[in-house]
Amino acid sequence: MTAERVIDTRIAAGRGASWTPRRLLPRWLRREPVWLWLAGFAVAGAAALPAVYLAVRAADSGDTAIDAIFDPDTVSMLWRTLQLIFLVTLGSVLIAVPLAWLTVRTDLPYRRAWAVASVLPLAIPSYVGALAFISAFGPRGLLQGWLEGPFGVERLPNLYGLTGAAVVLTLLSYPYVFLTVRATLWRLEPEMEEASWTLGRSPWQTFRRVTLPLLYPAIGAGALLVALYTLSDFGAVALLQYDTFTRVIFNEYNTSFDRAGAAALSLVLLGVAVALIMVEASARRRARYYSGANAARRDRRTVRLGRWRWPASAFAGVVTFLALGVPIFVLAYWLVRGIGAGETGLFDWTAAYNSIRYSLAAAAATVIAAVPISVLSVRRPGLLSAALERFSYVGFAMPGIAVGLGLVFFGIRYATDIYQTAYLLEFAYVVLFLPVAVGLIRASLLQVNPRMEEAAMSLGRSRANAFLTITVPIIWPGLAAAGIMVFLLTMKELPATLILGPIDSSTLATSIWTAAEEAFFARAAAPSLVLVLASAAPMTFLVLRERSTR
Amino acid sequence: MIGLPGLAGSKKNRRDGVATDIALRCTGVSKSFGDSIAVSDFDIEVRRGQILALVGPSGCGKTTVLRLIAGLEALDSGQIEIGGKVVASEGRHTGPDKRSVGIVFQDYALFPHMSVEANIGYGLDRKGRSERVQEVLELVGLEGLGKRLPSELSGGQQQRVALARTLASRPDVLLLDEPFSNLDAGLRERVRVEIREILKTAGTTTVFVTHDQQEALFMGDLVGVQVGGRIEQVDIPERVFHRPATPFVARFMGTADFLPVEPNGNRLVTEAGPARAVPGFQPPESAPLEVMARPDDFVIAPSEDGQGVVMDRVFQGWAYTYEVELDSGLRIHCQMPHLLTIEVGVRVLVNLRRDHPQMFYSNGVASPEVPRYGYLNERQSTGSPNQAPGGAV
Repeated sequence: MTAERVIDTRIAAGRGASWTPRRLLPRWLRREPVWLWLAGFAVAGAAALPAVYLAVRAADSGDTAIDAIFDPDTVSMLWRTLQLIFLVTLGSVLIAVPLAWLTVRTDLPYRRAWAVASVLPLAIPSYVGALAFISAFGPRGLLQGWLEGPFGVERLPNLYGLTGAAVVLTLLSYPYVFLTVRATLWRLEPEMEEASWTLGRSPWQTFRRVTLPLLYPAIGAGALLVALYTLSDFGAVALLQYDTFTRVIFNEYNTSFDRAGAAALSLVLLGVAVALIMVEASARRRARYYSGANAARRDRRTVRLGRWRWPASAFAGVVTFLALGVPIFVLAYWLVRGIGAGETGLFDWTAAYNSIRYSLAAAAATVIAAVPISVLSVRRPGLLSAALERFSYVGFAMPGIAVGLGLVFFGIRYATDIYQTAYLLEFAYVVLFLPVAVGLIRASLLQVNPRMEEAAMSLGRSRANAFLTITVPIIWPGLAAAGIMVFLLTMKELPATLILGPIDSSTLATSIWTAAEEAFFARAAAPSLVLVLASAAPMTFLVLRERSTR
Repeated sequence: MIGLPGLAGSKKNRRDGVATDIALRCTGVSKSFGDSIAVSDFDIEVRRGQILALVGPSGCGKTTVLRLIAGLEALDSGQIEIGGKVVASEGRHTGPDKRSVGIVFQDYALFPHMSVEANIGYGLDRKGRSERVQEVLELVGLEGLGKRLPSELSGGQQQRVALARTLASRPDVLLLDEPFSNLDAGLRERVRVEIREILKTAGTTTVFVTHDQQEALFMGDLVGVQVGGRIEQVDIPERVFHRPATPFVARFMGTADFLPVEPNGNRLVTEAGPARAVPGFQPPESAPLEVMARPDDFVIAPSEDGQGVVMDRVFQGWAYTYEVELDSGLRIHCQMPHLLTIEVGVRVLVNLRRDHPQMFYSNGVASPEVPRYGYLNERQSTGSPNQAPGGAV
């Protein structure tokens, strides 16, 4: 055993070897191998890079950027974006809270199936959802076609603009609220409600005065996810022609090549995202009361719906039909029609190969990048590790289009070698999906008792060896879940892929996008179905697993 | 099953239109969850203002009894009356919000998003709410903390808020589920004194569930020992301790050793010398008889002629508890003052103290039989005080 290892072991065992030269280092550096901190800093710095370069680029252009920010068009665009966010968030809460309650607390028939069906819309990329809605309900769409014959309907209410974007995004993003509310409903101590009943309050009063307020933090967290999703969405608003930040930024960059303007607007977009996060955080601080209750110890009382189960089932049915049934039906319809018409090129195998290649690489890179920060924030809680963790969350606030643009500026100026190669694109994926991976890996690390590693070290293993042989096997499911999530998110990612993707190398997402822009529905159908089904499988698994872990 | 003259009698009273002071009565209450029987044929009767401590090993259905009384579970059979009104019987279930029952949960279940005042006032009508809240805050000694959130209170204070919230609406019956289990040992003793005082001041009928015999003995006006979903014995604490109806109760309420008894004329011979019985005790004919002895019922002294050997010694500060193996192989426990120290392995003479009568058991029940619901007899038939060995009643 080397002297160094003896010291390591002693420090780990809390005995403290006082003569080591490491004493010269500040305490926090002494306690953890330096490389772990260096890796953490590197990852956090990389995550912050796109945002920094947006700022640099905007600052460089000086007045142009400021003009762009205070342009009246920008203000009205901000207003349009906020309107959309408000409607989508409100709609999601109104759909998700009753659905979550029905599937957790009542005897709704087939409630497990409804629970799965209510999560699956997350598997549908927004551009696919928008495409399906346009094809189904748009002008000259399927519905209008069917109504025209017997009823002579020549026009349907206009789908484009705010209404369509709000409806499509609501149907695709309400599962975020559904999931958070559902998780809290499971965890909520039944005693809370029982106490209220024994104090003479009716079930309805109990729901309104006890259950609902206890759900506010969960609703808030879910609503934040919905709001950020809406803010960063590019595919649906672009296809439905509603001018929000993302669409305008993309157009400025793509058509007018106004890079300073695009950078400035991206900064505003980032600012809105940060503001949303802060609103939710301050709301949560006020509502910090919810002290992570244990899982319910016994099965709680199920509310009997009685006659109400018919309208309840109808409600769940309509939501599922619109959010899941319509897209799948429309895609299948176009696929069958395309095959029937003998069209070729319905599925681009090269694009699929590229998608899988990029996504696998992104999953591996993101998980590896997420480990140091997760380990530091769990094992060495402190200001510095908290700051690192915060930085890794940049991707959470930053829409794909902003990350893409930030890296474009960086690539053009400092990294021309990797600009427009897959490497820069992978970099963008890592920045975008790092928060997801850190979140999942942190959660599984929290379940590992650090004493186990210390026991391994006291038995003569090095710190790294203990981590690899003890901790990694235990957190393996968390790492795998993180990898799978990043893989799926990368498969679906559109704006950064459009901006940064190597020229002449399409992915499933970009080929769907190209087909959709040209309203070539048959060609979009097959890759869309592949994307949806590939994402749906693991999601089903995650929801079903919920039962065994609750 | 042992007859319940008290239960039957008071039911008759009520039918005759005589006002009853029974706050809570359970008759033959049973409840199963799937295949597992949680409560079976459970009977209890609690008078107004009394505190009943239900004690039993974990999994004996104590908490289920509380939840049945509160209306949080529906019973399978039997009947529950609160304040003379039937609130639950087979196929009939009054909801928890319609019963005048308050329950304090093990982890308090305070509403974390409401202030202490809002918690306490939660079950009250608007009219007179704030006055009552102040009154109850004063009762539990939390004046001035009304504006705080539950998360800003200590464990003991949260407990009192939970109690206040329940007391505020003046329930006919108050239920406490292991109320002290979340407090650390030092605090627990202090809090239970306070809580008992509060309950007595408020005059609230209380059913209190615990797995700790000491707590039950301290808190209860009545102690009910529950096992396997039914009541094994319920009586005043002293009698449950000194006159256990069954060997199970004897063992559950504290260390107890059982020695075989050989009746010899009017002498009751055991391996530890003669045992003393109540005057007029008739040992059962041709049935094995055992005497129950607590550690303080034995005296030991070192002696070469002794019939036991010290196997173990536990120092408890004020006393030693010795484990002694008798020549027959039986092990007994004996508590002796710390003044005398006997080493392990020393031969000792073991004798039963003869300054008070002992309890005898035959075929799993006390002999003479001890009524499982002794306190009911006492109230029904005035004048014949129970003969209590140990004279502790």
